[in-house]
Amino acid sequence: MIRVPALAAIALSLAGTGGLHAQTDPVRTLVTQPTLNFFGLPGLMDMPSAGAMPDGTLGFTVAHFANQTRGTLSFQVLPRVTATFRYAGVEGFNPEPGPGGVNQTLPDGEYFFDRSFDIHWLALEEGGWWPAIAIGIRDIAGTGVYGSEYIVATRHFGANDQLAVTAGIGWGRLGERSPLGAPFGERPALDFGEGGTVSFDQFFRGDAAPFGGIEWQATDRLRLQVEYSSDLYTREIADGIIEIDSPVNFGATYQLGRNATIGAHYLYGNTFGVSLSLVIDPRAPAADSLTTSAPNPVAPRPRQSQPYGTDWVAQPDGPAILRDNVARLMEEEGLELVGLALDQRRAVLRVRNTRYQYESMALGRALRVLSITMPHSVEVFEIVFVVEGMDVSRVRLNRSDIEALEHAPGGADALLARAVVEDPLRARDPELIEIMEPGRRFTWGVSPYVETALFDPETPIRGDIGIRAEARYVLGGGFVADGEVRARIAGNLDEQRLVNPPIASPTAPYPVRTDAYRYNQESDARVERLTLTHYGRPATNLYSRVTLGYLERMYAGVSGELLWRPVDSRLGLGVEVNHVWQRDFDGGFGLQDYSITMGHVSAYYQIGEDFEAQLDVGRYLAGDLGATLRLERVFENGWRVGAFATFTDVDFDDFGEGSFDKGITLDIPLGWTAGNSTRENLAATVRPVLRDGGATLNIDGRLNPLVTDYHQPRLEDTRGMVWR
Amino acid sequence: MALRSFAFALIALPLAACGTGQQDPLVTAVRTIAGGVTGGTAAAPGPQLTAATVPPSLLAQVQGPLILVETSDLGGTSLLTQVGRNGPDTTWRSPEGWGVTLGEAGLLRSTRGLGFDLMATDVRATAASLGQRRAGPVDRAMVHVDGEGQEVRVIYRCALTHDGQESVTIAGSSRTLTRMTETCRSDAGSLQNVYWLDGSGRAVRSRQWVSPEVGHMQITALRG
Repeated sequence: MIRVPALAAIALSLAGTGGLHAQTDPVRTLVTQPTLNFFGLPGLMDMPSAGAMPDGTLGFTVAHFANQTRGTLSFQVLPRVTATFRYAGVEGFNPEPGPGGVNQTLPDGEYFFDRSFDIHWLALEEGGWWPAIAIGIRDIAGTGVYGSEYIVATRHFGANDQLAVTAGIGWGRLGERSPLGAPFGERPALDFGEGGTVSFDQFFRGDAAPFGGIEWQATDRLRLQVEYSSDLYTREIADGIIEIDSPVNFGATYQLGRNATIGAHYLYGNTFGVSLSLVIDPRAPAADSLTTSAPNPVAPRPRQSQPYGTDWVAQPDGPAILRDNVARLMEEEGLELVGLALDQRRAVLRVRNTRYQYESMALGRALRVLSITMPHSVEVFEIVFVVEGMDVSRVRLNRSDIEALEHAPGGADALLARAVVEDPLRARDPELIEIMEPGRRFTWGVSPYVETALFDPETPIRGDIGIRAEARYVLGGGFVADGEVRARIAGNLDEQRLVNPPIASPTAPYPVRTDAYRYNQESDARVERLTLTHYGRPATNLYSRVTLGYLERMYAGVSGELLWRPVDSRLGLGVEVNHVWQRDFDGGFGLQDYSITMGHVSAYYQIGEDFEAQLDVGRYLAGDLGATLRLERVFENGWRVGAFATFTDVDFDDFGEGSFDKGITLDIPLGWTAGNSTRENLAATVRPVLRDGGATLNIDGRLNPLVTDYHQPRLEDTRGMVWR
Repeated sequence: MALRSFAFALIALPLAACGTGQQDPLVTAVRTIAGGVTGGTAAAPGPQLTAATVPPSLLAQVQGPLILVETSDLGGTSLLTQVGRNGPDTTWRSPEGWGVTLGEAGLLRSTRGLGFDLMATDVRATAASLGQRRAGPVDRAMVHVDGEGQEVRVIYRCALTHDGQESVTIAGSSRTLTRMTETCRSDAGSLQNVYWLDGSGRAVRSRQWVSPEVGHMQITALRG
């Protein structure tokens, strides 16, 4: 029995917090919320249909029948494009023919695991008399066991689209039953190889066969499906995994809550199946909208015709009183006071935001603190956001605008429109009164940790739990010392072993990452990280970082980074250079012989409000040269869903399974799950396989994400929360 | 390759975290989710107060202007004291961190700390009509934020109607007030607010709509 992948476990936990509070649910119909099939894409059961989830929606599905379990994570990348990552386990399956083409099976209890990506494009939306038409490719870059392509049409009938009729043509697996011929020529024999390569020569080739089905929305929650499958499961039958007595499948799905749907199915004339799907809209909060305590209101100054007095400047205890008032209110709002500088007309408040996911919310609250505390003659307020000791942006506003716009409908837009956001280095601070808060220099924590390895070729999930201790000391002047030790308590990460032995080829890369399992085998307690870092602002628009020490579990050395990113720019350019030594497997301070100088130049670009792209070009850990392209869909509430791929001069045969490094990333803000204000999030990277080509360092504190959160595009994108 | 999973976090829960630094996100996640399931939200019900039965002894303990807010859908009631004034708008706050801003005639301008808050609304036209106890059409815009923190602005077409005089009991004593109802329609749905007005056209009590999720708020001025 295969355990539910951890991603589904996350989704379950998230779903569990829903439904506590009244929610306004949009009407769900077969069109607006299509059923997800066993492949995680709009469809019936084993067959696809022409549809799309709401834009930006994430789907998690698990389906189990006849010794096979398929788990998927699907994402509606664009309104008409759905992408899926699937991890499937088939007990006793051995699709690769043995020597001489003799069929081989796996012993009972052993699984064949397959990772694959699909893409589904809703080419034409339904309208008038014509149906919706979708085109899909299953297993676009995997080992090919689910390799198939389809063109499918779906038409809805009824006042609320209660009935959906689907018909399509499939190739590959979907072209096996009663084929109509091969309209685009023969399909070449499948080369299992290492997977990971896009099999262009296969797509839409070979026999094409019809499939179809009907779906009926019986009640608000219950849907019934019947489909005619064109998949003959030829290879599975050869290994005795399934028998196909009939092409007709029957199913019923029932929606449990806001997110979850369960299904029961009678398949291929002889077997039962079950399915679960969770659909999450990152834009709809899971638990509650932010219930963060109300802010202190703006304190407008009394209106008067002559200028406000400036006698307060001469008051001997003035600075101390201002400092106390500001510090108390900042603490109430959960913001960290770094410094305050003012003269008769202008006040500059330096703020470290460790609380608000929406940066504009931190801005609004800091402005209100100044409005309450500053003497009346101070007309210009400036908030400087400080990250890791670096001043990253300065927001300047007139106090009278803050007073006038506090309660106005449209006040958020108007306030940000009047705000001047600039590089803090462009203006000098007032020097009449200057208060620096040392802040808390030393922070530490002891807490449990969980570490998992997902989807390794042998088992879907392994994990360790243990205790970690962390400490961090801010030395001042931009220097930060940081360390973490970990001790494992229990788990099975040490059972990880090298499944695919190193490539024997002399041109294969040094095992810079495939050695990772040895660190789990040879250490129970370890120094996870021990670094000294300097963050700085060498010049306008420039940010710098130098990190020295035990950078990550496998490498120690020195890492330097320089980032050019104007405060109002959607473009950033960076360069990172590292020289590292491989650390000893025992997790201590020792180093091995392998060392390398590597790094990359990077370009970051924010595409509209929804997407961010990053291109790295350089030398990777094994000395290979190449480039990484990363694309993320960014939600204003902190969710990020992304994908990346790295191509280097390690050729596909030397790379091993997967052919090149690629994966998907998911960031879930905890404030979204809980409904309160926190900047913490859960970040996950899922790779089909981690190999040695295209490998990079895992360094904390890379500059671009630290800096851009407080730059103008981000402040403007989140402006709706400035008065929250 | 590493993914912190909730499934394991449940096992790890008994290992309490300590320290001054940031907590492991997964521990925080479990805490917050557990909090969400057990209903540990801001709208914790206070003592069961109603506007009619607020004991005068309680009023005597608190100084300054005071309002009582009852949120029927959230199931909470709280006393709010005035913490700010900006022109005609007064801002009030409860011990749990609810915030309410009332504009002219005691009309609700915004809420904070309730989750699905009313971010802002324009009340001048409605307040002018209430001031003269005048029935007829008034329009207003209401602003909320969506799950991505983006403002959603909806224009409501409203009509004020006269409901006559009504006797209302507040803190044990009863008074006769003029009742008016504001019925509003928009593409996003309809809503209804009810105002009980004193001789100057000020709402001494009102039942005003906040958002689809929070529903209505009954606001009673206990002391001006």
